[in-house]
Amino acid sequence: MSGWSRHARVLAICWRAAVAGEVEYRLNFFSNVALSAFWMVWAAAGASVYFRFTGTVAGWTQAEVLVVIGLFFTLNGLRQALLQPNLERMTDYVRLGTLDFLLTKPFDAQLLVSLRQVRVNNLLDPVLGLALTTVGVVLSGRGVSVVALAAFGLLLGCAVLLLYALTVLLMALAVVLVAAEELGRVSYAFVELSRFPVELYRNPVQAVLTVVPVAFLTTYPAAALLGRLDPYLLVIAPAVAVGAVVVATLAWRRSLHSYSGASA
Amino acid sequence: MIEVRDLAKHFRVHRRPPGLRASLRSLVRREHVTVRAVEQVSFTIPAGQVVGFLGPNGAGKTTTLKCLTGLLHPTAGDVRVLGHTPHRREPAFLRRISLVMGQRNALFWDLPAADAFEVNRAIYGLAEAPYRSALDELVTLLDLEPLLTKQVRVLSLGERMRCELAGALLHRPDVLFLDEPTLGLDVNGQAAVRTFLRDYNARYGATVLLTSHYMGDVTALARRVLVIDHGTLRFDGDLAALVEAHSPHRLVRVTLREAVPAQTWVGLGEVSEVDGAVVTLAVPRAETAAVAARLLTTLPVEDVAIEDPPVEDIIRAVFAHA
Ligand SMILES: Nc1ncnc2c1ncn2[C@@H]1O[C@H](COP(=O)(O)OP(=O)(O)OP(=O)(O)O)[C@@H](O)[C@H]1O
Ligand SMILES: [Mg+2]
Repeated sequence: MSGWSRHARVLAICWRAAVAGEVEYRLNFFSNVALSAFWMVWAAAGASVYFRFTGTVAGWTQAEVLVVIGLFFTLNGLRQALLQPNLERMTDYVRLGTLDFLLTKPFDAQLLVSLRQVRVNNLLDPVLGLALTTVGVVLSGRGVSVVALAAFGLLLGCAVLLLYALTVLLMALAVVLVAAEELGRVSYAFVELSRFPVELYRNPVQAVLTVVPVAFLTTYPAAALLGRLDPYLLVIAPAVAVGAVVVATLAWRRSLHSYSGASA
Repeated sequence: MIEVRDLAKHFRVHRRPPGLRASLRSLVRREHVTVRAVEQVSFTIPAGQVVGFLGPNGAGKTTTLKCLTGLLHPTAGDVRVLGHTPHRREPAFLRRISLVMGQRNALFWDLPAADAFEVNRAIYGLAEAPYRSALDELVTLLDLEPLLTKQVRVLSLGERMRCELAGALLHRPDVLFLDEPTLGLDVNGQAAVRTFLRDYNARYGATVLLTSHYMGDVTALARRVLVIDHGTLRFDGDLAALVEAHSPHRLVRVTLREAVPAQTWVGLGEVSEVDGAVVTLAVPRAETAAVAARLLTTLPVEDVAIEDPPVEDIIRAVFAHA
């Protein structure tokens, strides 16, 4: 079996087991979906406050802001479903010595520790988020060209990669610090900043959010979908995303190198 | 197969002094101490041999095993296992080894054992047929059938250990590193693991390096032992030779039919224990046969047994000498 299919199979088994484990708690799942939907509607309604006396804020109409909020819920859902549960386990892997064993297996430990867990209850959140985004696009009255859709796909992919890179970076930190339950909050805070278009923040903050790359999470993908993306970002965003993954992977390797294993 | 030359592993640890002020100061001026966990250790183990690795707590056993499995980069020295340098962690190397630690978990806790095995199967890319036959064999030998559907998390210590062993052996490793595999198991559990490991070694000719604080594990499995203390190797050779070198006496256990006066034993040996009708004498090694014969002919003896002192005592003697 080739490397890729081997890695895919391992993740498939882990995910299947996670889903099977949750099937017993169907009620739990559906109440979670209902709750997520509620928070999304709440956030969408809350945003209307800004538009009471004006049609646009910092160049964004209310419908366009909905597109961003939808993307925020999409990414936050992905974070909660795929990244957060793995990050939370990291401390255990180090403490219980599971990481030691993963490192004695002919397998990419980074892939396994960063993706093996899923929180089934949040798996539908990205779908809900994309639904809100669709509503926003329809309300905005703009047509979406195939080109815009492709650009959107590319930028959303970059956003997911960025989020993944952040998680790996935090996991590397968790290996070094061992006690690192707090690290999960960092990734939440990062995503939380992308709830609104960065233009809605004051100028210095805006600049920071562009550099820190929060803008790449929701603002730019939304702009792509709405057909108003600066074309140069089609090059910058993939470069930033790939760069972030490379940096995170290097940090992970570095942390393993200095990892001397918790002494028994 | 396993070649270790002048292996050293030092840990640099940050010393945090007690007291708030001192620890605040140490934030600025970090003091480091070097822990010499392993120093100048050399040995080779040929293919198929089972070797016991003995030493008191903190002697450097686990550290050595971690160097041999590639988890730790040696500070100095050469390590070759199966022709590979472990810390490079080449897949071709990792495919042929396994590490089992009694106090650590290799299997994912949240998965049922059967799924955990499936994960291992996928990790090693095992084809259906060899996987099935290996699994069936392990399930039978380790009596795993009733455990397969349970989550690893809910298994008892002994049950989990049997599952860990199965998970570690599905890919039929050529070299097996075992760090206290019987830790915390009851007598039956220990016996099951020992029997299983002996069979595995006999069947597949696997090389096994085993640490344990239970001498029973070592005497049951290994003819050769390595003794390590404070990071340096103190003994490398036959268990029998170790016993001979460090215990000039053997124990002669006499069961009497009736009581005899205490001075009877003078000149025969040193009384090391009296337990009702059973008297244990420590007798110089060379004289044991003669003494036993004299006991049988001159005293109302029901039974005489000759044995070596417990290996624990011998190991203690080794460390006392050092
Ligand atoms: N990661 C580490 N950082 C600092 N010191 C360590 C580390 N790992 C081990 N040591 C130290 O190295 C020495 C050897 O430890 P090791 O775990 O190899 O002992 P051991 O022989 O396995 O002992 P035990 O029988 O208790 O398991 C100990 O003094 C230990 O404190
Ligand atoms: Mg140890």
